[in-house]
Amino acid sequence: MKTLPEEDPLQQLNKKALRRLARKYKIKHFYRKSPATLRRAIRRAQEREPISEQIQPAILQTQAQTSREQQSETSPPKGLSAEALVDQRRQSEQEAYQEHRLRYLHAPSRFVHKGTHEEYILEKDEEIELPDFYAEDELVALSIDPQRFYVYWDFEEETLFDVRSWLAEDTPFMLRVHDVTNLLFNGRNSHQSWEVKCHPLVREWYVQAPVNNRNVLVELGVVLNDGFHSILQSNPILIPPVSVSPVRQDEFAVFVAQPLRPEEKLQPVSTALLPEQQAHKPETSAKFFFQEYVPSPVQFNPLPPAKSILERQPADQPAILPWTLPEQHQVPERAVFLRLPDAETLWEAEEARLPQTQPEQKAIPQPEMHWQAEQTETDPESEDTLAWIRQAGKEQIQTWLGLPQEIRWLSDIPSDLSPIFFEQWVTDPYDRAMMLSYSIWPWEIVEHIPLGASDELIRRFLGASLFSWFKPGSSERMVWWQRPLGASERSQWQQPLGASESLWSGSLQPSRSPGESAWHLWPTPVSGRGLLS
Amino acid sequence: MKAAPIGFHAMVLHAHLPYVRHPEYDYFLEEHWLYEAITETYVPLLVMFENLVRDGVDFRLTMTMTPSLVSMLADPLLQDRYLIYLGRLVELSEKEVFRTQGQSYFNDLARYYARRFKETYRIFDDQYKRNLVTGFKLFQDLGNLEIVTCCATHGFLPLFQMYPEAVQAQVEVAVQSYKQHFDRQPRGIWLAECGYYEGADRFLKQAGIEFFFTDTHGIVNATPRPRFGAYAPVFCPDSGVAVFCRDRESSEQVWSSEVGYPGDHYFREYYRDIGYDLDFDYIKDYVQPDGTRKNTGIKYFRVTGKTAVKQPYNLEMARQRADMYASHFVKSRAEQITNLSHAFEGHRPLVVSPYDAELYGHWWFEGPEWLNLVMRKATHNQSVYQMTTPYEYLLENPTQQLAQPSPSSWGANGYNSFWLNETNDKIYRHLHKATERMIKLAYRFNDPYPLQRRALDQAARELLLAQSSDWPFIMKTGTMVEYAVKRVKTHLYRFNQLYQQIHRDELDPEWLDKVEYLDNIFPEIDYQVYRLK
Repeated sequence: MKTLPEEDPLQQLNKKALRRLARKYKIKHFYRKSPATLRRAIRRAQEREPISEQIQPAILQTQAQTSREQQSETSPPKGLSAEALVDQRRQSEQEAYQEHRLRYLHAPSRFVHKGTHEEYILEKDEEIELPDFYAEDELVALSIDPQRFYVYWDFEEETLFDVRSWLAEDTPFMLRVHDVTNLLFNGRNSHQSWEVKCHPLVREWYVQAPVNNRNVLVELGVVLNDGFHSILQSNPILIPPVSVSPVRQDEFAVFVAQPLRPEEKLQPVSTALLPEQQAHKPETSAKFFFQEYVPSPVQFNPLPPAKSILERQPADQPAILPWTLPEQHQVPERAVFLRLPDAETLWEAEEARLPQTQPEQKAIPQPEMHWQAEQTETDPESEDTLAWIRQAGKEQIQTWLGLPQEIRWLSDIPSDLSPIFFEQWVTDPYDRAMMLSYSIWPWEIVEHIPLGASDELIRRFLGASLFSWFKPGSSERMVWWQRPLGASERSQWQQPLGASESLWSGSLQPSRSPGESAWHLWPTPVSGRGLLS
Repeated sequence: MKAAPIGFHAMVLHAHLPYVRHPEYDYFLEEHWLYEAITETYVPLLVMFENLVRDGVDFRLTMTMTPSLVSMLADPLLQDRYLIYLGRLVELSEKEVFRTQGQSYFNDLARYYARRFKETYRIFDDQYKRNLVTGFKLFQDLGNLEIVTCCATHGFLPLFQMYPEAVQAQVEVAVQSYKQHFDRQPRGIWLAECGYYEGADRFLKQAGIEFFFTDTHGIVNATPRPRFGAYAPVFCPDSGVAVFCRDRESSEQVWSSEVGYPGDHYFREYYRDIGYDLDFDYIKDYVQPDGTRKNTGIKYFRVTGKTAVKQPYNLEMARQRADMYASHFVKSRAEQITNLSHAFEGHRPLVVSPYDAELYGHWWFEGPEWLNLVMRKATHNQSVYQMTTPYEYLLENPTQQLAQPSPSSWGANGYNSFWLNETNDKIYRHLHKATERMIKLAYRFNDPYPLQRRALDQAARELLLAQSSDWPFIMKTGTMVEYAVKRVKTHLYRFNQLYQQIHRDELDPEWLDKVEYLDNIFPEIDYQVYRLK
């Protein structure tokens, strides 16, 4: 039985509503179909499966909605002014918007997908591969760094046809880079230009930039018999400068704060508390996160400017002796310098205690140490010769260590296995001095710094000292010096037999291959940002 | 009465996470980036602020909170999911207390974790009512914290500079989002990855922003050569926006993997997590549902050294070291600023030290502890400099030089090479095409009907999400690459679908509903930001 047009609910639906209905009936390609075709298809579908309970109200609702809309559009309710109507309209729009917003912010997931992460990555339903290229004539240049930049391009169908035919004839293609700083480019007037050979179908290229701090522009072209023919032209880009600007011009301006809405300044929590409340502050959660703060008495105050080099005393005098500091910077009492044994008296006393009549023992053959003075042909007994040898040895050690002249030797060059002591004063730009002492043994060099020297003090002398002292975690270089000759790299670091877990400090563990250290997985230092991965 | 400081120090924490929200999945691994950062970084920072204010320390700190991070923190779905995550973590930590009975080292630590996680739960749920943005806003309103905004989805502006509309949209949407959440106009912006090109400042001025940050060479290589190098801001000549740049020395002390503080051997090792170490049967409920292991956040070992054999973590020892490094940092700043001040002959230098916020707590567990002590020691233990925010510095020192900053970023090599190289160059062709299409749409539609407006707004959202610099960043670092590629493709696919539907006027409301529900960032966005003002 055929229904009359005015009775047919489908006749009263507009295109949008019809499509919605068609989607519910799972009609294929509904978006391509005209309203008449859609109606036919829906009718067919309705005949196949009688109208379900969900769809019936949907139709009714759509009808009601359209009729309401028509009504409101055609005949606005009387008795309301135009302004009230506008207000009402605005309000209802606002409500509708809020509802829409709430709906998609708070709604429970309608698309819950109980998949794993792997499945998400592999899932293909909403992922079409992007086209490799676009069919448009364009050439885009992107600046990378002062050394190089990147270009990509696309061709239209016709251009592509030409390009292919040129390629078939083995015609060379070029990227011509123009320096167009401060000018309007017309194709010929660049300051300079250079060319890079390229393949047009690769459609992207990294180009080296021989200039910097200049604006450049790229042309893609083909080299025919009569010369270069430009096909595409890019946007201009700035190759960033690599160094400080040669322009010196001190022009200053004054910052004027923009008027902002006056902000209410809240009362800080600490002063908002009453005095008795201050006394017993309520418990905070800080104890779960932070250690209690214990104030330390250290205070840093501004120092006067350092003396200029011209005002310094000549180098042959020790820069500052004795060491005097202004009162506020007096070193606390515990900072006593390490007092080394007076080498000469020590040796003399040792000799004095030895029995004089002891028979001469056969000299133990000493291994040739690289730091020993060479044997000379002069009389070894002679006092002059010995003095000369000692002096030569000292100078050589000084050369090896690269130390300045003011060294006070505390012992002579040994003829057998004994340490050499020496000490030096080093000064900082503030003309404060510190004495460093070294003892050199055949198997190690020990550097003595004053007892009680603070981090700050040590840092000042960092450049002057033989070793880098301040290194968070460990001082690996120091440890390397102290390694016994012939000891393997590992032996030093193994836990000593009998040492307990807590006594043994792992902080002196060796650097091995970088792969074993988790610290190397830290994001690259220069990049300045970490990634949570 | 405290003497006037001779210089200033501004610390900037850049808090950013890419927008990851997958309502269609019950469990999604990448969402845990946010959850881990909340537990380990954002909540400890809030506790620190609260405690500093309570103790009467008038601290100054600048933080970037990127619009994508703020949107995630304010999102009810993610808030609910975070509570579920944290509940499971509390459960696991209680099991750990039971499991480690009798092992004194581990048991103490397990109890510490359990207490800390429970407290975190209380703070998140009760104190801040699940919305941490209100917490950060509170300290901004108190005047201690200055929150600056960032590009809307952390889009790397130099690679979109040929589309000024796209740059404008990134900035305008960010400002709009900031106003909604912080109830104020943002004073500053952190350009994503500090990526600056000549001309970007124009759009900042237009959006009412007063200052932004670059890397050191952004100002050092500026034209004309800045009088005070990296230690004073300059004004952009075209727009008058102030530019601050990063100080190398203080960055190095924290960032460097060689000599940086976080590498200390007593600090907690990030890469030893019970999620990987313990028996699968025990841990299986707390790792990924498909059984793949992941970090749980409970870690028992310290860095120990460049070795695979790790020693147990000792909280007290680590705190002592953090204290030591805090002293060292404050001392170094005092020395640095003294020297600079002498060199500058009266101009008061400003040292700006920006870091990733997630470094503190997430990567470097003791970071918040250290920061807390730095704030306190800078207040109590020195009179050389004053901690400040860039805006307050400008108010106190309004006269600064005019100079055009050099294009730069804070990535490896200092330019664009981290975001444009052989690993990720393929995406720019498509991103640029989509940007071009979006701009066309924005100029074409003046007065769209409601459904069309929704589609246009959604297209703008999809484009912004696709432009995020995190995707090329992840492609370059090489971890989770599939996810980044998938995200770019998905957003571009959705954008192109919307573009075609709008273009042909064949909108699919159901699909639009779904897409709006999935990518619900910036509910108030207006597609007309893609029209140049």
